Amino acid sequence: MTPDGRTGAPAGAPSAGGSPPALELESITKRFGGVTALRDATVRVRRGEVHGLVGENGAGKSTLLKILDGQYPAGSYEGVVRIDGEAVALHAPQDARARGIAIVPQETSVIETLSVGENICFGEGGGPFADVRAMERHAAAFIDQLALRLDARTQVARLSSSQKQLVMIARALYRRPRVLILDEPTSALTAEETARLFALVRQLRDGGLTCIFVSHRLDEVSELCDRLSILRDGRVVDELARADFDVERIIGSMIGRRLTDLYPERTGDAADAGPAAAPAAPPALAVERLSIRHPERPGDFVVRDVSLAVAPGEVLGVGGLVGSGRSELLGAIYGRHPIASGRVLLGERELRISSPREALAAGIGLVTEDRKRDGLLFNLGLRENVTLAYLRSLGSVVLDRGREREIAQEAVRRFSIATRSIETPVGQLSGGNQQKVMLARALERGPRVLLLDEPTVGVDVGAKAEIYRLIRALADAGVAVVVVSSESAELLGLCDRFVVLRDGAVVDRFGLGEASETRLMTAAMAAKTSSEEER
Amino acid sequence: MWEQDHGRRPWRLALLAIAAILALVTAAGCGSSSDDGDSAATGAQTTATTADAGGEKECSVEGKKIQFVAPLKSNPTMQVMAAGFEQRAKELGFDATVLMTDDAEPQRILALGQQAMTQGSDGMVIPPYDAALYPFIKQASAAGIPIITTHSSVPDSEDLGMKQDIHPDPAQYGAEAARAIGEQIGGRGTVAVTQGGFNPIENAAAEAFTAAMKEQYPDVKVLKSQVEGFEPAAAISKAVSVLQSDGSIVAAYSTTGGGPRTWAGAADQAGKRLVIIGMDYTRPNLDLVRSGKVYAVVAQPIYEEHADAVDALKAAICGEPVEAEVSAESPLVTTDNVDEYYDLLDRTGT
Amino acid sequence: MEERRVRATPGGADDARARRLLYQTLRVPEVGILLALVVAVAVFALVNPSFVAWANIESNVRTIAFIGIVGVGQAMLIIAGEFDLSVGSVAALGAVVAAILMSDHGLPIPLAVIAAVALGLLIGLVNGLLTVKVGLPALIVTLGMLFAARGLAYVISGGTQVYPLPDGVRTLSDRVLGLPMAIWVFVVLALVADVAMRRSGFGRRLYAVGGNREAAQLAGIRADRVKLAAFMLTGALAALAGVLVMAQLGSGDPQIGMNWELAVIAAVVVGGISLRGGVGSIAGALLGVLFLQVVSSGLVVSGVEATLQPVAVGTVMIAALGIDQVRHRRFGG
Ligand SMILES: Nc1ncnc2c1ncn2[C@@H]1O[C@H](COP(=O)(O)OP(=O)(O)OP(=O)(O)O)[C@@H](O)[C@H]1O
Ligand SMILES: [Mg+2]
Repeated sequence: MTPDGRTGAPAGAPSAGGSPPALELESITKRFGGVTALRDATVRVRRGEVHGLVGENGAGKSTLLKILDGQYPAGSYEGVVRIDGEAVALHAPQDARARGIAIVPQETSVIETLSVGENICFGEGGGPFADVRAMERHAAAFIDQLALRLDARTQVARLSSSQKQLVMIARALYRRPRVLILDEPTSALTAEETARLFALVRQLRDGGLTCIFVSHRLDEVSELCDRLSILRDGRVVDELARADFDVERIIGSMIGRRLTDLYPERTGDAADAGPAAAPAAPPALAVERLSIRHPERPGDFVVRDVSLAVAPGEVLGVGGLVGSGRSELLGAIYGRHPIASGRVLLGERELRISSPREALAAGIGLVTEDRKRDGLLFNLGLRENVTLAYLRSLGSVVLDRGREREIAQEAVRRFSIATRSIETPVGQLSGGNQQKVMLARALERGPRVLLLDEPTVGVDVGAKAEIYRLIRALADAGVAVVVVSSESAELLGLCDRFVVLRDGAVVDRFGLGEASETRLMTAAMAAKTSSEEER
Repeated sequence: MWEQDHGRRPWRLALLAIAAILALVTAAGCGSSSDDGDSAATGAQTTATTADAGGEKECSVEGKKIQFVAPLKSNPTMQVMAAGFEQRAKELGFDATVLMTDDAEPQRILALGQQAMTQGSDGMVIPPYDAALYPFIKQASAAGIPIITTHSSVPDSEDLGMKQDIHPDPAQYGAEAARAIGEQIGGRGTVAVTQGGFNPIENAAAEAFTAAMKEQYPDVKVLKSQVEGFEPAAAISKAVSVLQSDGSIVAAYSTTGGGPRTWAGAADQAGKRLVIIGMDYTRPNLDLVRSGKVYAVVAQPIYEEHADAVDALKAAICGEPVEAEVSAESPLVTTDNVDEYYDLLDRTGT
Repeated sequence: MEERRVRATPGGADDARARRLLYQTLRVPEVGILLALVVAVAVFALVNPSFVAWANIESNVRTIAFIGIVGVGQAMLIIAGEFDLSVGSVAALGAVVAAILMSDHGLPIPLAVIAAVALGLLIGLVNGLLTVKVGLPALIVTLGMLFAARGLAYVISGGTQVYPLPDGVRTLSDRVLGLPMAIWVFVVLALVADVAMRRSGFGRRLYAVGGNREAAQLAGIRADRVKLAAFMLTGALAALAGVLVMAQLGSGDPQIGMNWELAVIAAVVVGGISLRGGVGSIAGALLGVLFLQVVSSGLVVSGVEATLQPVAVGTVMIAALGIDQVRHRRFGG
């Protein structure tokens, strides 16, 4: 056994450092009715380390963290939680807070109507008549200290998902925790923001902070974590020290088999990467000089003069930073935002629509980036969510339930959605499986053009590979696909051609042959710096 | 910003839509406004025939300006009040005006009163149904205008300076109802009591009912008051529940105008025969009396009150002594005298 | 895997099945309110057996028939994420307008009823347009309509009952197969609505729009229209309820429906309809209506002091909500 090796030592026995682990979740079993989310899972986290937690969608990562945060109260699960070697009963998040545990949950949880500052300082002293200005001042100082790019006075509702994520992180850190739990914090962050977060976490760790970090991006995990616990089906199946990190081994433990290729092979013309701009065939979707007005600043635009085209069978990648107008572009094509000037062509014909309903009818599908805000119906089950866009075909008055069930079952099979049944409320699915439900819905009507905004947010590697394969298969079947993603690797691995947006305008376009992570990033980053200068 | 822009312009739309609905419903309501026209006409007729009767007394009030200032000009009860005032005033030769508002808003009544004062007034009759009217009564009295308040009593603690306060006495008609019910049920059995709400007047009537029953028919058990409220369907269901709570109930007394219908409906549903007394001689209530479903209704003397108020005004103007507080008798309407009240309703056109 | 094999012993399986059955039963959202209802009826029947006398049951059912018809619309509307405070006033207006049209204008009774219901539909449309299209809060719009419609009912009726009505009106309150017409109307409406909410495309759209309007819209649902339809349905059903009360009373009383709005909303919420929208069922909502009626009638029958009754009703209401919350947290659903 190496000094950092697998912790085979009996519980409570002094470890190499001589002190008990900062956190110990021992033999945790957690059931939700018929579903067992955790089976006898044991995780030990040492003081001052960044401990990674990886596993497929639904492996039980978030459940474990919610136990540690007191969201699932002591008694609702079997097993023991120890903090600094002392068994504790956490009955509510307040208990965890009192012991210095702070969590950044997987699902966005900010108070939209309050300012950034209020969100960060919320509930931290100040009494019932908190002074908002003072809060915002404190928060502003704190944000500076963390070197985050946020304005304490902005209303949170106006922030992008990545900025909201930063607010949540700042809020957790504002409580000066001894243990920081990050549940997929990077899925909404840009590469640059992620790098900054990592620097921050390392700095805090050197100052004695203990951190648990969850991510589906194994490169991030390898980069940041000191040790790693791997979950599969609610069990801890492996535990690795940094020295033993090996992506293949991690994936192998996670999914219980070897993953050959993350990205599917390209077929057809795109494979030999022709010259940059033009699509290979007459486009299925063409956008000509499209502009979209800024929702708040009159006279300003979020998308300016954008032209692009996608042929059937092609996957077009749209790069750029969060806030560069990518989502708005997709939204305008889908009839969600009004177009200020320019036009959208579907095949030969100009598309004149003013609602998503018409877009759907015209054969366009969209998967939005924020499943909580505008993606899923959390009051309904998987079945209803999958068939939502397909209701008319299920009967004009009474819905054909048999047919509906078939569709839902087929979607579960096709996307390997991990669920107890098709009736499970979507809120009870793990994040990645929720994402698959959205994809299933968008594909239900067999669109000719598919718009995907961050299609693999919070999806595990195995499922990612499946989704990529699905997208490629759709393209091969003649669908024109547009993918927006903040993950350069994903864009590069999946797409045939690329367009990069900066401040709402196209700043670069290139084919697969010229594509590289550097080119994607420089085009996108240039945008960031230039827009900063403007401010 | 989007949302704000969204919100501004459509206000106009909203107003338009409301206006449209208003127009539509007033169109539907024109049937009732033609009714109003009829009643005005009949009122004019009756006054014309009685106009020359007065004017020959020692103290003449010929041409003296008096006003009846009150709310709710389309309400039939209020119309009966106004008719009592108007007809007696014509008989005595007053130059009488009826000033009534469309709604029950005291502020508008105040405005009407002020208007009467500035145009010159030798006396006013005002139902002081809202304490907001007290300051005006006080002000007008202080200005030397004789005021008679009617129907609602002014608390003794208020010193408003009016000449007379004339109103029905809930204690009187409560006791009267007890006497009648006690007699009808032969002095034994249980009686249920319901009120529209727990307000002072209804409380006084219910208490007087209970006390009088205890005194005169000690074997009769009077249940504690229940609230029937003012929503007719809920009131009937409440009354049925009251009937279920005690199988020995043989009679019911209600201190509110909905009472006859409430108890008649409840007795119907429960398949019981009850001796029922409620308030107010509205046409539906009189029909219930005539059909025998309800034994009697209390007739608050709203017509006579206002005729008497005009007499009191005359006395005050002529410098004769005027009694400060008069309680007007509220008789019971049974099958024996129900026709008189149909007549009264016909006469006042309601 | 091993664990599973160990558990699969025959006894354990039975046990597990029983537990799962209990669990699944407790997950059904309507179970909470149904239990509360059974308990309430049992308690009141113990205190005073005549609580379960037929006349009392019928009277209770007849009363909830009116509020229940309104509740059907209100439940659908709340599920779609809006609510309507004007229902009681619209009932009064419907009753008064129908009464005037049939008595003063001599319109045939069916036509008068249809006109009243159409008026309710129209008021619902106005409520809906102002809320959905103009973007004013439903609270303000329907509160305004509460006053406006009641005021109009008074103006049109001259502040008094519209009376007498043509004799034919009695057929509307006659007994059919031993029960008053209103109860049949209510039962049929309730069944249709419950099935519609569970099985029809319209029902699904109501849930979708109430659950997440933006997401529903992106899935091609015309959220505005769905909400408008729910508003109109609510208005029409309120007017219909008013007309049925009118038929029972034999007069068009502008006081019909007084305070219904709060009674209805409270009842459907007790019955598991979430004010945030998207959650609940017609069956649950109507059990809620029945439950509150049973409680308020039961308090009278068991001789609770009149002044204490509202306090007791409020307490029971909060308790019912609390119990349901606990059930929800424990068992989901
Ligand atoms: N409230 C709940 N009720 C029922 N089942 C639940 C509930 N919450 C989670 N589950 C189930 O527990 C399992 C573990 O879920 P969990 O959210 O912990 O997964 P995860 O590892 O965080 O996945 P992801 O990477 O997709 O976020 C899943 O099968 C999920 O469906
Ligand atoms: Mg998770």
